[in-house]
Amino acid sequence: MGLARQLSLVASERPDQAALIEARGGATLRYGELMQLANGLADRLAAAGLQPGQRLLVEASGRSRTVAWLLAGWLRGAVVVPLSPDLSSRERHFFTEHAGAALAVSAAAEQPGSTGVQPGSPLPRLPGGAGAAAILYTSGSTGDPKGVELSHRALLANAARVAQRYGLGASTRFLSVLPLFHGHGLVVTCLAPLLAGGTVVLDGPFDAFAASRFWSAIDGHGVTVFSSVPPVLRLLVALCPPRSPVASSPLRFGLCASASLPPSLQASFEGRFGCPVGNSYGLTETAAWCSYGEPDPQLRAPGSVGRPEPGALRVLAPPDQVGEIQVRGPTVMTGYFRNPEATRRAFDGEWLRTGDLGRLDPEGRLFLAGRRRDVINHGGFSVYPEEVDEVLVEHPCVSQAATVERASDTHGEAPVAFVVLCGPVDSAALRAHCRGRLAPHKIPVEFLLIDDLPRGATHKVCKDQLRAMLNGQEA
Amino acid sequence: MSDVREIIRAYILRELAPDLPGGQLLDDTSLFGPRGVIDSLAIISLVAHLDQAFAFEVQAHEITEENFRNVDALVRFVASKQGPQS
Repeated sequence: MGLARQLSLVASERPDQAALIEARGGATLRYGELMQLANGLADRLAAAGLQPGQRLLVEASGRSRTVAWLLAGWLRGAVVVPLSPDLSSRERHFFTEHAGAALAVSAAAEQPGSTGVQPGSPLPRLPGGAGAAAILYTSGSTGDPKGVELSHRALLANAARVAQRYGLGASTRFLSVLPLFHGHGLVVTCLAPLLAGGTVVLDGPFDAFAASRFWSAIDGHGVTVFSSVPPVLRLLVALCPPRSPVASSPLRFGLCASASLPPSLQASFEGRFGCPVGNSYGLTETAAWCSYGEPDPQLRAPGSVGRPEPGALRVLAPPDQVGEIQVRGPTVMTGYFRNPEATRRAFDGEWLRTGDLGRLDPEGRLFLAGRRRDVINHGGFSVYPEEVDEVLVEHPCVSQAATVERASDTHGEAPVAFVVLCGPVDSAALRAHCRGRLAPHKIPVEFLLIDDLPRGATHKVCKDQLRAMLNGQEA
Repeated sequence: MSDVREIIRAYILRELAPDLPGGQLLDDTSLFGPRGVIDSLAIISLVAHLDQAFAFEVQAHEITEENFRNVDALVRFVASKQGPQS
């Protein structure tokens, strides 16, 4: 129970300090109250039959009770599986089955007094994995599901690194606008400040209306640091009036990760709001970050995603040249849950193959240079093309489908589907077909008809040709 | 007000949700959120269009769910911005 023990220790030292503040409404949960609530919820989980090592699904709405339910799961010795409350019923059913969840906490359990705890189906007794704390799903309700299994050690190690690198402590007020079912949201914006004894101001997940609340949350709750994703920064730049830097403001800096941050957007944000933003790099498989961005513009190199821990990251290339990024150490995942083949492919000995390309300069700073693996980063959320393709070919009028990424000013990348039809259907019908089967961020932004998919000698779809067709279309 | 409604509906259908059949965009259809028909970041374009089409400036604090929830809410919001002239 590493996380539960550590958080209990932190709480015992400061029971009256605010642990969680809900930006909307201002409800505050002090450390003592958080532990009391979590212990009560843990008792309910025990009464419901949850055994140590079993999986507990938690629909993570981002309210303070989400944090309490996660903590309750850890107090009980369970492996928590935080999921988006916006999943389709098909996706939720799939993850429940794949995780072998013994119990599920619905979003309704956010309401005080609600029972909210429902039995999963079925109730298997699988080995939980020594020290397993959480499973974070990065894909896919079809084909090749990837539930990233993270140990208590991995979550604690990365939270500690974030806290140390950015000087988090008791006076920290960290604005969390990201979903808690996402490694970045869970580890960086929630666990790191809590384990450092700070306060988390919860105002997530970020939505279309959050820009109107963002700065009032910053000012109203004395926020000292926030972490975000590029689409959020773009929304703020587009919709919020400029702010003059106020010397008395406690806001020190912002952080950003989970998708490529264009230097122009970074400069626009910093110029408009007078708040420096450090750009980091990581992936769910490394329990959030593995390279820590420098917020201070005087100290950072343009385009860099910061520095990794010494010895924890290597690039398979000569110095200052581009190669695959690999990561090792305590923050790396245990493996993909119930997917030994994907786990085997993910590791090169002790090194995790990230599938991303980059280079390390002589100063030890990391620069990203593209990607090997075939995954689309849609505004910080992973979209596995195979999953989208499988859903599309379930439509009776679609015989083949191939989804690729297209550069997006707002989201970094966006999924676009090429489809071969065997019957009459339009884009609206395909979108409606996807809506009931895929989470919103996975639905292609555009469907393009094609007579046949280009294939190579091994019959594999030539996605580079499809990407070239997209570029030609844009030109 | 019917002009305002039509201007808003036409823009949404033409620019923000081109795959949505017009008949499916009702006055109370959710525009944003998990069941919304528009991507959250498209609110940037919608705000810019409202500014241009109705010659006012939407303030950041006005971009709320109450004002942007659906077409009905947008029509009410535009009316409130236009004040007595409308």
